[in-house]
Amino acid sequence: MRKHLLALLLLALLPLAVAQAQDNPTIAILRFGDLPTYDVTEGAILDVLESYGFISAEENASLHSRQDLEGDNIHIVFGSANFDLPTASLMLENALDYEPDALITLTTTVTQMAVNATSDMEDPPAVFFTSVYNPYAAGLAQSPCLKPDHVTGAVSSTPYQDILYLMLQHYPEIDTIGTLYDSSEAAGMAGAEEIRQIGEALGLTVLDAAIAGVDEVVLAAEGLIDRGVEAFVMPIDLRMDATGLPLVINLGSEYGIPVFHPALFSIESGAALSFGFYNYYAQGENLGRILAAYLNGDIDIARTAIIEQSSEAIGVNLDMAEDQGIEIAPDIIEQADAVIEGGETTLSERVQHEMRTADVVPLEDRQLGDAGFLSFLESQSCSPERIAAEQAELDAQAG
Amino acid sequence: MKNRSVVSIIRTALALICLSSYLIQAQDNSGATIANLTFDGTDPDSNTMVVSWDTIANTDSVKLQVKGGGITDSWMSVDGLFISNAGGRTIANFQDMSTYQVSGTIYRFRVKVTLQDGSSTPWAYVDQS
Repeated sequence: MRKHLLALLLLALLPLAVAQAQDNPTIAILRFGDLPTYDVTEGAILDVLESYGFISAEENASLHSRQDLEGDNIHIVFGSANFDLPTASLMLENALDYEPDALITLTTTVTQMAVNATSDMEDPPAVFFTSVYNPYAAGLAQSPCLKPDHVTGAVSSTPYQDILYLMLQHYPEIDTIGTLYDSSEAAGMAGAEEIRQIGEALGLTVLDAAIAGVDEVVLAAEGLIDRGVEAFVMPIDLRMDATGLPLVINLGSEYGIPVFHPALFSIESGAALSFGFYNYYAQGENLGRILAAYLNGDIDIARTAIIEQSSEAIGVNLDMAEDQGIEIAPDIIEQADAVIEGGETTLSERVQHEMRTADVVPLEDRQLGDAGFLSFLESQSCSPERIAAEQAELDAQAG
Repeated sequence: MKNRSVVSIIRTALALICLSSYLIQAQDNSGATIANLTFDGTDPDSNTMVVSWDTIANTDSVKLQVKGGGITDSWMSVDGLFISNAGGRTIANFQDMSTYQVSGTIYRFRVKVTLQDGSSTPWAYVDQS
């Protein structure tokens, strides 16, 4: 009899437990493929969620292996597409089947797919993006505030203009540059277009080649060399970066053609020198702060402008420089934040700090800073005046 | 092609030596620089913060970024700038972001100007005072 009563009691409580589980927010963290820098960015998001009590320390530790979590306070679904578009499409469909409250998207391609898939929904999940380099050229938004109401994110800026000036200052005889991009990678396409626009404005001839897969890289790069390319200026292109960039660098070394790339860790792909973005933890932490504020009901996504963050650091690959007979001045090595020598990578303290994971700040220690960050977001919010100003600026550019 | 390769490698080596010194000089693209950048405080009437610098001829656009204040370690772009010129100075007003500034910290600002010919100045830095 007691057993029956207990069973009845459990059955009576079950709907409450289900309802509680259903009340928990569901988020999906989706990325186009696997790169160590994504791990850092995702780890920072999870660290913020732990600070705010959405996940425990144990759950955070297990989440770093990207196992889905049905936790006490949140349901987290992970997805990675191995840089494959059909797989990315399936990944997104699977995530939407969970009717998530928020999609956290890493990379331009996945963000584009998420925005396209949700824009016509009556009650779409919020889309928070990061590891996106040019959302405007990629069509995700027209400007920081001219965007779908359910979308916001953090843009990482790329110093293409600085790189082209740097190139021209020291290669003034160069008048033809080449760039390659994967035709299915929006960030690469947008970056190549930006390189073309800036390059042509500077009087350069810019030749580009679109590839449909890594097996086309060498042929396409050789084709550009045959057409007279004197330097490669590569866009951030996550499919190319993972597998194609080393091939371009090898070819550049063979023909003595310099390769410029706007990400610090391109030295790990074989670039002798790099100059670019490295704030991978900060970009995840900032997105985590926005996500936590959203889940806590503290911000309105429609009014939250797309924010931009940037950083610059120098990387040198002394092994590659030696192979290519290139001497890099001691003072630049001293100033570099990432140095590869003897197969070992040494990072400066500030870059090491940025590449950390599982660095959870107790809530009481982070609340002041987070309030300051939200205050910054509020100062940048999409007021009617700001929206009108951005529209007027776009109209003026179009007119 | 191989002869070209050797010549190009030498050229690349020389250029990278020059490049090294260039990087240390912080990416000065245009020859123009921002002079006398100052943080001019907060205007309570408009609820804006103000920075200004000596006007540079043929300015096309201005980029302003902030870090510090306890809010972030990375440079964040400040949008919604209101730019004006007066008395040989260019003045940038932007929404006050200090409502929840962490006590005992300061904001650091940096400004870059892009000229109409597409070139740009190096970043110039100023601390909130």
